[in-house]
Amino acid sequence: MGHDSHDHKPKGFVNRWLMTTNHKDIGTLYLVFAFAMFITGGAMAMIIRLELFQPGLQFVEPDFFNQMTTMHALIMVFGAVMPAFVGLANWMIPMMIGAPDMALPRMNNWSFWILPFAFALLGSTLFMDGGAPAGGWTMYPPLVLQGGKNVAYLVFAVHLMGISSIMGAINVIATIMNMRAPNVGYLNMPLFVWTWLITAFLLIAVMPVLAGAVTMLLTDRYFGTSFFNAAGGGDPVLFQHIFWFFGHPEVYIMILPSFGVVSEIIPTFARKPLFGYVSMVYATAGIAFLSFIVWAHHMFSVGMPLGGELYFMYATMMIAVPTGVKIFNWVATMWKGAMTFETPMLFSLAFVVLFTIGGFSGVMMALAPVDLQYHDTYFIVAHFHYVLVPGAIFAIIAAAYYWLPKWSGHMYSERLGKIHFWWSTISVNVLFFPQHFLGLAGMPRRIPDYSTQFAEFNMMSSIGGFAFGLAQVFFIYIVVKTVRGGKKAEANAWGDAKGLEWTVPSPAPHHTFDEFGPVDLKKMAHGEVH
Amino acid sequence: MDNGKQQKETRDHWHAQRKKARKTALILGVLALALAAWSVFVVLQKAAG
Repeated sequence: MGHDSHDHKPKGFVNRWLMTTNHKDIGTLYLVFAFAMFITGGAMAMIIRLELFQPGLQFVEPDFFNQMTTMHALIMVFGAVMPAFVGLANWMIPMMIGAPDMALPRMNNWSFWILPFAFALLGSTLFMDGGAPAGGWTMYPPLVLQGGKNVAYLVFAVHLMGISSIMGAINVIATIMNMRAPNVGYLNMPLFVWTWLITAFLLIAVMPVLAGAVTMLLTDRYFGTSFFNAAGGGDPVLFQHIFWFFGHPEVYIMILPSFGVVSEIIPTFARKPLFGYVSMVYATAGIAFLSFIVWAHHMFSVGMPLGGELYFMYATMMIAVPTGVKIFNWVATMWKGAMTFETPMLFSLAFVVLFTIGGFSGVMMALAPVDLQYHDTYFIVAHFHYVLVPGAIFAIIAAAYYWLPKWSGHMYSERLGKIHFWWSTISVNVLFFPQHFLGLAGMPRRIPDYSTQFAEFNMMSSIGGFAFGLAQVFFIYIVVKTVRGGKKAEANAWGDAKGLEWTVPSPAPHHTFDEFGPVDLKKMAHGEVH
Repeated sequence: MDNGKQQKETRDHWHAQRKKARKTALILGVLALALAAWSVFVVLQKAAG
């Protein structure tokens, strides 16, 4: 199979970016948007850490602090991490399976262009009377309903984000199921494609549930219903059940594609095929299945029958099994490999180690009796930030370094990349590790002030936060510098990386795999295995 | 195979695949709507009971 070396890029900004149906351009739009949201959500995190630098109220009002914690989470989850992975999916999935584009290119354009409107709606609440939502990203009633006018904006923004995610997920599934090159079977697909296929099914299963739940919040607030209003016969705890039926799989929506990215990068720099490819696929599917049946571990402190507690405790602990399979396989892939430590590999290694720390604290919290002590403390904040920052975000950064030569046609500066890596890795641990101790000592989350006994660890955490924030500004410099110029990248930028994306020139032509025909399975990331 | 014939074959192939993809998308879209309705139905059922 060949590829079109002609570059038929549409002329003009509107045609190229607003009207685009090209998977690479839409992927770029998603990635740029996600990075802008990452910086916005990060700026809110800086405000939070600035206020927590010392005990006492220093810079912001408590209500504004609560708005910052809520908006930071909503923006990072729905605006940064999820769109970044959709961007990676758009760029890479068609190239990895030998497809000329996504299956539904017009819907792809729509999926992206809904997002800026969703976040404009959400962001506009910051300028309203009463301010932005301040009841936490979990939107628990009755607290969230006590917000001012922002409830309707929050709900419609979540609807739009949900529609965008569902359309994106439908497109990913339709593409993978129907647009693979003729001889590419499911078990020839790179693991990034597999993890995205499973993630897309998770998205379709849970985003509509969130949409249903927030719609009921809307009618409770504006139309006199009492779905979650105890005074009218409703049940606020029911919202928590529905929210976490969405919320727990959502965690895996953010982490499964990270597993896929790391599973592409480690074999390349260990110069060995991925160990246990099929078990990786089953482990991913196993984690996805378990994600549907563990939601109430987020709610142990609400109170439930002992049998329920035991069930959710053991079911949650079972997640450690397929996750352990994955970690074992990454380590076994590296075992006796001819390893080199380029920036994508460094970020992937940090992912494996630091995500595992987040996983371990997760197993601790799965224990119903001790969770009552951890609940709503900084221990929880430390846990989910370990899985999301050196977890999901490090995987996104690793992916950016790994595929940047393919996207831009230039190699980034390895020296700058390594500085970025060490700067980020040291600071992220200074930022989040002390939060474990704060939580164990009893510091509650979502508060702007605290007892003086927590002062030292909070100061350390804030210093780590500022350093980590600055490191990501440095990352912008590296990316912009690479896109603007630098050493030309070869088609196979890493020498002997496997995968169809490395068979097309760098930068990847605007149209790839226009001609239909079988691909050389030996060149696929995991094609050799079968 | 001459170039014109190959191009037509390629076009026909991707056309057929995209048609199948639209069917896949439709099924998944209906599934998503059904799940949204189901989540509301669960709450209504609890309210009624």
